[in-house]
Amino acid sequence: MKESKGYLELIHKPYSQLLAKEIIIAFEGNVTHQVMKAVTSVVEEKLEDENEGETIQRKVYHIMVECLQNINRHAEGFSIVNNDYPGRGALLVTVKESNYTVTTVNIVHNTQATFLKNFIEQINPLSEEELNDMYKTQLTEGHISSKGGAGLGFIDIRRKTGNYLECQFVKLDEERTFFIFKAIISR
Amino acid sequence: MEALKLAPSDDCPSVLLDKDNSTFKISGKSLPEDVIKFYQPLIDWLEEYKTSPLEKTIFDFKLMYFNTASSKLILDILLILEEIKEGGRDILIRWHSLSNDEDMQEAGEEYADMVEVDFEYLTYDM
Repeated sequence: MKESKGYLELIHKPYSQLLAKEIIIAFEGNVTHQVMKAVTSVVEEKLEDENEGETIQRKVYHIMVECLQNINRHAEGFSIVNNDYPGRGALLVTVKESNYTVTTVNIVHNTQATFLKNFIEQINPLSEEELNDMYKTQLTEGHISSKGGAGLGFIDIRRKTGNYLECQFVKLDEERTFFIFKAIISR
Repeated sequence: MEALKLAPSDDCPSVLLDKDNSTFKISGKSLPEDVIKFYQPLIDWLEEYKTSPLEKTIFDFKLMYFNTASSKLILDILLILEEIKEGGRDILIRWHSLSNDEDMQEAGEEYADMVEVDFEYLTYDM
């Protein structure tokens, strides 16, 4: 069985160019609910210490929760020499003068990758009003999935940031793909 | 009808649904690991309350934060309250937001567009 490099490797290029002060947190491992709470509270404290505005703090927090809960619910396992790592993912939160970025990496099935790509391409060009309508429609007509999601996360991240969502897909094998997702929160 | 009281935690809001004292309130943060598991007792309580509600129900939402999965369950609660109103009783939603949290206020306005019950918007400071 093929050995895999760490997930952070996939965002290695931007990561290796960052200055220490620009990295709020870099994490790779199993994204459990407890990890989500711990990681988000580390970032919350850091932003508070930096006297970041409360509106931005709330947006960064919200987007991290949604991204990490996505990984927690949807990340597929990947066997590495007889060790299985379901729910595994990576997270990088950075700060620059003009923005914060929240980048996540996790493995999805190829069919899910196609769905995600199409969905993100569909919501990116929508206006604020169209996004609000889509959110309300999904809120009214959608159901909580067996994995506990409401299908609202990406729509909400898109409308809360006002910025296009960025995604990249790196094929792992015939069945699975690395999904790299980036949300930008303007300061 | 027995009151439903839940203490807050770092990912779940505090809940007080108390017919005898006319107090209906959800406050705090809502990002539970399993939203259905957390909210089902509230939904069940309200379904029972719906069968013999007070003349007027004032329901306070004072949430600091809720994730998108919780937003679906909050709508389910509002829809039960809407049914109570359709049955001829008064319902008022008091939607509290931090004074500088426009997103939370807008979330309330969005719900107000989706259900036929009266909303009152209140702000508070920490």
